[in-house]
Amino acid sequence: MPAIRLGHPVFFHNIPFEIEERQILREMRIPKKSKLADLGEPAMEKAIGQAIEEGYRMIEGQGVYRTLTITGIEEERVLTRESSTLFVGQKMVKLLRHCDYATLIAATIGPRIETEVDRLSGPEPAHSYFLERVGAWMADYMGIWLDHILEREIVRAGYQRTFRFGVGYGDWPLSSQTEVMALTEAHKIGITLNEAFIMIPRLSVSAVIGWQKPGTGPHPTPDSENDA
Amino acid sequence: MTPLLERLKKDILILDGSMGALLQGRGLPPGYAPDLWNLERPKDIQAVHAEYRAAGSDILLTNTFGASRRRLAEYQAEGRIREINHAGVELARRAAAGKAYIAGDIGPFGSTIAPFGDTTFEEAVAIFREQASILAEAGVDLIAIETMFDIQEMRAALIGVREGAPGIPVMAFMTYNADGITDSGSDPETVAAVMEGFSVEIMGLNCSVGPEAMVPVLERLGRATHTYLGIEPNAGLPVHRDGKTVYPSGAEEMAAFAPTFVEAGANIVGGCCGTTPDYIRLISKMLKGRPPRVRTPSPQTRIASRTRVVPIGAGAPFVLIGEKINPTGKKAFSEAIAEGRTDLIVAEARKEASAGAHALDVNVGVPLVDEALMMEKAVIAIGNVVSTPLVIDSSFASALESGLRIYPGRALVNSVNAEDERLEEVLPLIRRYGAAVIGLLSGDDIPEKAVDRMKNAEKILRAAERFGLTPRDIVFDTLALTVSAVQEASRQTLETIRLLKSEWNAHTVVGLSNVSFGLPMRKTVHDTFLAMAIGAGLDGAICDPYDPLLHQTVAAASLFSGRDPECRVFITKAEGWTPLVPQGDKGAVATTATAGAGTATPDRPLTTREKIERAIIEGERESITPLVESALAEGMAPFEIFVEVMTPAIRKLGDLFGARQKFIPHLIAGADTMKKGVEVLQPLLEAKGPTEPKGTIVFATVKGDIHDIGKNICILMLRNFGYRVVDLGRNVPIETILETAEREKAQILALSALMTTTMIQMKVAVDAVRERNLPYKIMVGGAVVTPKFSAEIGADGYGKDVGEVVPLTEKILAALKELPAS
Repeated sequence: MPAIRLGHPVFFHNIPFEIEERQILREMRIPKKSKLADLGEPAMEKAIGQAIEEGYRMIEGQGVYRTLTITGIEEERVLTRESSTLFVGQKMVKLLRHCDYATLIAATIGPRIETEVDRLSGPEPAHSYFLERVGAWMADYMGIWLDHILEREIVRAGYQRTFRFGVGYGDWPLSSQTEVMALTEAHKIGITLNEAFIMIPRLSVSAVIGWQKPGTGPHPTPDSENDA
Repeated sequence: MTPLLERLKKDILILDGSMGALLQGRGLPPGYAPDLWNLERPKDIQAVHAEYRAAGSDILLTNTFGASRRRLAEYQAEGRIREINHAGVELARRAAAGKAYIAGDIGPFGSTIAPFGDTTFEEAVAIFREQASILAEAGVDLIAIETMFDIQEMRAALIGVREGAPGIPVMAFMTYNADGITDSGSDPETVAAVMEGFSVEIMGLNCSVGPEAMVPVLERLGRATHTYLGIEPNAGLPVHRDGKTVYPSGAEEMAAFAPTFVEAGANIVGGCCGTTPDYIRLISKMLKGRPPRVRTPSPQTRIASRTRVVPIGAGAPFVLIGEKINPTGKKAFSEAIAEGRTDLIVAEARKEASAGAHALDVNVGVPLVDEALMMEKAVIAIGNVVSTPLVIDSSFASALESGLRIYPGRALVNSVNAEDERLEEVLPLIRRYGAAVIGLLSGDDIPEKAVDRMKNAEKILRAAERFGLTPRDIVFDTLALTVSAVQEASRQTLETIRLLKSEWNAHTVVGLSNVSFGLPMRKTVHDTFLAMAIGAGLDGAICDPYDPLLHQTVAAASLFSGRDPECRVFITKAEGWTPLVPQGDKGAVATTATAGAGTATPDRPLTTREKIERAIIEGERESITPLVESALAEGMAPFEIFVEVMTPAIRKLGDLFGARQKFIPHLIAGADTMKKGVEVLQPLLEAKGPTEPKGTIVFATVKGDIHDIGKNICILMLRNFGYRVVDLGRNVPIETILETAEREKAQILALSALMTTTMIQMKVAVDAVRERNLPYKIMVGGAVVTPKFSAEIGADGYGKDVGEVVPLTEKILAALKELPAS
């Protein structure tokens, strides 16, 4: 059996990507359209298309995950070999109670889109918005990409993955970001925190996925988030 | 014993099964390195090997899967790498007793590799080289590389093994998921193309999924390559029962698949996780004496990215190699490269791939630029966004090497010619990195006659063979010269293509664009030449993929050159083409009217007023400025344009948003368009004297929060409606907000937050305003803010999204006017 990669963060750089028009339209809350051409609006198609092309030039996908060994479950806390303070809250207990391991994920598209979004927000607000939406989806995309890589490792080891649970959701405090960042050494892929525990670049994601024994909890579809 | 590769010609060989499962049965603790038992519990290791030998294994894998320096370091045992690997080989050899081949087993080194990971390619090569060299020294019959998830790590392993254990056969197994692709996205055909570049003796798959899911992958490998194949399935996907990891497929169930494996092309069959000597005994019983299936080699050259393979040669689709990633004659492109930027390279790569190029030539040669460094950056950047295979093009061997090293596929190199020095520096790189190469038929000069070009082809081929390459590793460029300068030379180019195809069945390309140089109607000239060359047997061209005539020419010529059976490709493509030459009524492809989809022909032309309205509703940002200028020229007053045309238009857009006929992007694009129009009017309106704003709003993202895209859009909307907005930006303390409100005589404080942790600052603001009895109304919004939260903190208004900001502001201000002055 391939070894579980425990004890150290596993980094990914240069994550390959595709910016799907369908996802960007969804991110912009335009329903029932899967391609820009479906809009039937040349100006809008051109504007969003331009943002997508710029996305291709600016995105630098990077990610890291680190798998922690669960050592105990308390009423409102999940203990791991690496930390007794990270996984707190009832939601976290519910998510991880049947798990032997929990993997922290952090991913980012880098700072370039964000810088451009800020620069354009005054003179070109629509363009800024379109680019920001591209960046927002692609930050999620990088998290999902890592999620998929991890899921295969989980299955190979005879486990099932849990839902992906974002830091700060439910009763898992956003202040946990500090430990998540430290354990994953996320600074090595350029992610830091501000005083409100918000990741910088903003277009970054962080989450946890549990390794549960088959048949012990819900078996979510890939990419399922925050439904613990 | 008969040499392994001789045996494989006539026999199916049986591998062993899982080592880990048996060692755990002998007390190996979970998480402990099995490799250390080569020294600590050698009798147990030898006994397991002996069990497999007795069960019928023809090949025993040494217990060294994790015995690389990097993996052993996890157990502080890296200093014992030599004795652990030597012992592993010796224990297998004792158990084999001369009746089984010994395969030195090498697994992944446990981390990720560049360009994905932190470990550099050469570091990884060194890790594999060291272990392979020790295993070779210990006397293995072959090296087995197993359980690789990433084709780039496999490439590093293959280079390391070839360098550490020269002359020893290599068996290289990737691990595929249930969907038939590896973790890094490679399918079996791509993996086969990459591994063939390294002349792997046996390729295959192991681990991960059970036998049933592996059959289709093995079948695809069997069709993609004639290399010997091996397979080691798990006994199904592991499950947990009673606190233990178990594998669900029994020995009989798994052995039942063995004949299917052989049908699919397997020459070696064994087992991976969960299998035991019982499994191997049954498999051996079923397959002993069964002859292997003979598979015919394909003559085509295959190049590949990490995820896509492109065949070159007779019968394969004609290959268009995009020539646009090249700084020659492009100032902006050259400047970008000189600055180390890859953005224009990426844009061009996307464009070429979208235009239908099958491979992309990458040339970053700019004087005084570190071309090796830039090539590496370009190859990584392109690989992130397109899956089209690359042709690495440089006159510097160092740049070729840096591109080849980092490229996680099988690249084509452009190029080598018949000059001795160039052959000596380029061909070793092709061999080391498993690439293919374009052989340019020039030498010290360009031979005029085909017969002389063939001599250069022969020289290149012989030199390539000296370095261990085969004819399938070479694609010849027959040199398309400028026809206006040397007409006979062009005819000789066609003749060379014919000779190479008919005498050697060799693969050919030409660089197309130069052929028409100096002539009018260049596209017609080189596309005609292309059709003639395809007729002569040409397999690909380095060309301009943006030329629609070229695509049509290639598709049409493919009809006549055996590349498009049943004309299917041509017919499908023709549906999307606009004919570039008159086709007559019957041949014409139906096209839509030039007005474009969704644009009705009006009974009368739109007035300028209507055009402005449409521009705002449709977000036609680029057309608004001339339209407003036209309206002014037609005598409309600036105020009239703003109040009677633009404002109703943006209101109408808001109504469409409310009716869910338009959406947030439309609102934003419309507001941005109106802003552009107002910029034309602004100086004229101000010249008439100061205008009274409809109200003043201080807008801020609260302290701690750095998200502001929604806030910025709200501000845009408000300003379009004539409100004065003071934008304080992000992460703004309450004191700054209150000071500004007082100074600017604001009526409304608008607060935005995106995070649950920061929206509490809104309550701080409301409390401060109430405690100090300040006159401001507070409206709140942002992704996490809810009406309930707004009500709980006592805000005066909540806006769900940008569509609500103007109505909410109007409502709050209307209520203010109704209040008695305090």
